[in-house]
Amino acid sequence: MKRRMFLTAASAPPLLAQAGPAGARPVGAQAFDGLGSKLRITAVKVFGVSISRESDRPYVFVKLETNEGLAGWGEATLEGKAGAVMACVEDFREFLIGADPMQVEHHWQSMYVHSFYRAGPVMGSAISGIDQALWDLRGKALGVPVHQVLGGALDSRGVRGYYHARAATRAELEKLRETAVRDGVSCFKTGIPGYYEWIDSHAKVKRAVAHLTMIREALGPDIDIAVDFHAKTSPAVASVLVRELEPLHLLFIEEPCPPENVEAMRRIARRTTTPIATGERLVAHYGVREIIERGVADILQTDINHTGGITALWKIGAMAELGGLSLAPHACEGPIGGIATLHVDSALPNFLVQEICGGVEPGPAEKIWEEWLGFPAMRMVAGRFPLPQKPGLGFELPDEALKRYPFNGTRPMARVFHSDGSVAAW
Amino acid sequence: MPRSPQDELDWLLAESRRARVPLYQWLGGPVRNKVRILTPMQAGTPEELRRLWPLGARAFSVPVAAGGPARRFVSDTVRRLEALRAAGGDAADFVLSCRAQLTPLQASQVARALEGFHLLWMDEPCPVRYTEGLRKLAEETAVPLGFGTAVEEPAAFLGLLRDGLGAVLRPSLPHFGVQMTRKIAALAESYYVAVAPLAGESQAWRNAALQVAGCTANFFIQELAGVPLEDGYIALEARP
Repeated sequence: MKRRMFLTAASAPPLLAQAGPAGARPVGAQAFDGLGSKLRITAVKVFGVSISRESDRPYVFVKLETNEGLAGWGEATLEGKAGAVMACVEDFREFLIGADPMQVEHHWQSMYVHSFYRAGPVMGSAISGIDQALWDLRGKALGVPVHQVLGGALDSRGVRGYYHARAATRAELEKLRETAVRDGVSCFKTGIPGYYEWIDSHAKVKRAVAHLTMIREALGPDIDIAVDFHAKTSPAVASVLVRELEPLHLLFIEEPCPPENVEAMRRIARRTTTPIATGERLVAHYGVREIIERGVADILQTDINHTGGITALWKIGAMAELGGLSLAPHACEGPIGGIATLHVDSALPNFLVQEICGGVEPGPAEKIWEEWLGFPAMRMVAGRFPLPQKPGLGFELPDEALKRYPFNGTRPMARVFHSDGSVAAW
Repeated sequence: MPRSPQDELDWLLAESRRARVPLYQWLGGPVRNKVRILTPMQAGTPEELRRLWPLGARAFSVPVAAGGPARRFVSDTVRRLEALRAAGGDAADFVLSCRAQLTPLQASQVARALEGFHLLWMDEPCPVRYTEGLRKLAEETAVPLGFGTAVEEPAAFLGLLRDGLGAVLRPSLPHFGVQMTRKIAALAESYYVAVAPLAGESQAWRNAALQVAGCTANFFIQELAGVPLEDGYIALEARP
């Protein structure tokens, strides 16, 4: 049976409607009898995957199985809160069992709206994983890669990306530049050294500026450099830094202050011509509206594993396009979300660059990803991530492959402190 | 029933003593183990800095000298601060204490000239009633501004925060009392703004200020004269 045939028999009675008590369907599903496909979700599986014992971000993968044998994968990894997200995906089981997976938007709306409290990273991540799996199924059922359903890839060469600059000294940075030139990598991201208090000292500001100046000098003028403040600076400290870093012509400065106070970030942004990027902690298109309409930032970085999956990231991309902003999505979790992001990136005219929390040389995680998926996932070729061309998200993942890395429980993210013992942001 | 800040402090001290805990414990528990201290200078000279340095002072509040010739005001101020930095080195930090003596224009000129100097903040550059001038100043400069020494109504801090005027709020602890000062700090926290309360002169309030500092997340520094310090800090004490 060809994949497309799942969709042709809309007039036939829903398969699971006749299946007795085991054939439960979500509330509201009967309103679409005769309109949808014959595909039905038969199982929701959640995998906690710890690739190392200490990992603060065990991957949370979601698998949706169907009556026709097709399976869809998504990623719901939430750093430091794996157990909560796994439980939240379970809470959505009743929304999904017996549902027609082709109704992606309908299910997204139901999960978000019917949860009443809206937003929040735990629910956002759970919806993200389910949404990606629904899109994977959707592409597989239609026989096309997801980017095709999103309007088609705009650049056949793939998706421009950046690695993290894992180099501290001038010598290491110069070697990094050589490797980048050799491999065609055109962009890196780095951070600012240390932790910052509400107001900070001359010595610390001077050190940060000197450190970043050294990075620009060592990498040269032709490599783009993004600097992540990681919201560890207050508006007061960030204002001083963005002003002094302007001569370095950075690609962007990320999260110059925490994201809850949009006006505070707007004031920082007005102190510099360096583009400001933010959004990795924001959930759903509702979460970015104020940033777009008030011209707070230039680049949005919502994360496909937290913001609400492909559905929400695409909507954010559309809103950003209308507001004159570009997209540089965050990705610091597992390979499934990374791959899902590439599909959205490739179809957005206002896409800028895609993150992956890896170095220019592949590390142990990337080797495990290749072992799972059979190709070097989220590794760039000539500075770009190749676009998956198989139906759906573009990979198969046997459950057994994950068994070697059983869930080792939730681990907290880094906890750091100032010299007086008070809580510091990293 | 309304009570004075002094009555409130007396009550808090009595309650915490009865519970055999320090006041910071009664108020929510310690968030730090030592308190950064801002040492006020009288003359603001390198000699004074060299005298205070061995006593542990590392952050200094320098009074602005607004009385001199207007045309030399900016360059004189920059020169004074540079002499102080030369005396203290990169480990020395400074607040420029303006005591609301500048016009918004003077404040803008000084702030622009001092951007690369990394003041901790410029304190009370002009009277807070110059709202528009201050808004322009706050938008133009990256130098953090501090306000509040002359604010009498707690709700007025909301206006300062909403207008983005301050990076540091300076509520007077004896004026507002312990809980209201902590409420002002809570408000400032949601704007990512720090507090550096004023302790006043009496020993009771100076002690109380260190207790409040010990349990307030967005406390940054306590202005206090004449206390022995260790590398700019005073340790939080464990006794009730």
